[in-house]
Amino acid sequence: MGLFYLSFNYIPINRALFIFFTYPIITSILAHIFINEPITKQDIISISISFIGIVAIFWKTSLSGGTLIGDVMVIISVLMWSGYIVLNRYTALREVYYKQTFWIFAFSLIFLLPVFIFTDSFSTFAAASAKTIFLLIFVGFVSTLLPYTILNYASKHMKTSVIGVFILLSMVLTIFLSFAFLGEEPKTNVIIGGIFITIAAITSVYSFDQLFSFRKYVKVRLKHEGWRAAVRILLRR
Amino acid sequence: MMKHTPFSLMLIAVLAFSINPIIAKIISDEVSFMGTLLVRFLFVVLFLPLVVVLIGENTFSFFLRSAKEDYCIFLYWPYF
Repeated sequence: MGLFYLSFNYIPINRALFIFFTYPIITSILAHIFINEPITKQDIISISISFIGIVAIFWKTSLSGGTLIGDVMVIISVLMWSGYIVLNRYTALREVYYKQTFWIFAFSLIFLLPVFIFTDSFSTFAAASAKTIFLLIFVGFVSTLLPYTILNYASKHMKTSVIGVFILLSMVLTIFLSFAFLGEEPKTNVIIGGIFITIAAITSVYSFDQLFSFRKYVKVRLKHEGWRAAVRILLRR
Repeated sequence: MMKHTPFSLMLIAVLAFSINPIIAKIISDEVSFMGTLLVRFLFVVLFLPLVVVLIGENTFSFFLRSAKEDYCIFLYWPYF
């Protein structure tokens, strides 16, 4: 994570993000090599669709410029992040999920603390307004403790390739939320890319065959039991 | 009550992840990226043991035992 953010000093942010978002491909390959997870046709389809989505999001965006060191930093961070997802899966199959979450963050905190002391100051927090303090607490609980614990838990039950594509969905949701709360209107290509990534997440869970037979099943349940039952079926997958 | 599965939980996680950049942007005038990251890490380290206590585990022995037994934890540093 540190390397990824540091790379912004050497290459354009768009280029760094574009390279970083190729991690579902790297994750699947690493999972295949290190934990013998098979790469199925469905995985290849969903990852390809997600890649098309990423290309669409960065369409006509200037990706040139910067130095080689920046590219190397992002590539290493991609490998690290993919390695983290794979390792999560490896240990999740053997360990208790919240134990993992604790150790990940304990290590991260130990490494981050000296960097923070050298580059920043604790007085930043003293000067923060009540609203900022509240948002910091909110980020700590809702946006960190909750999702990372869930991610560790889900690693036990979901394939690494599926998790990789699923996490990409957060980018789509961020685009949607920044439009809703910050008024940042997304471009057409970003919307198209977002749709592709959403399709990729769906196809990573359901194969096309399942989707077509499942649609009939949901339709029948919807007719007899209403939309709540249909949503329940979809989420129970 | 709806039964939560890894997939429905993962959707909650994805939504929670997506809020992060929005809030980071809102508070960026007052708190730096490093500061936000530090608080996030600190919250997990401080409050996860509390969750574990609520679940019914003896936190200290639980985490110390895991530190002794799980060689894998030392591989977690790449996440940073």
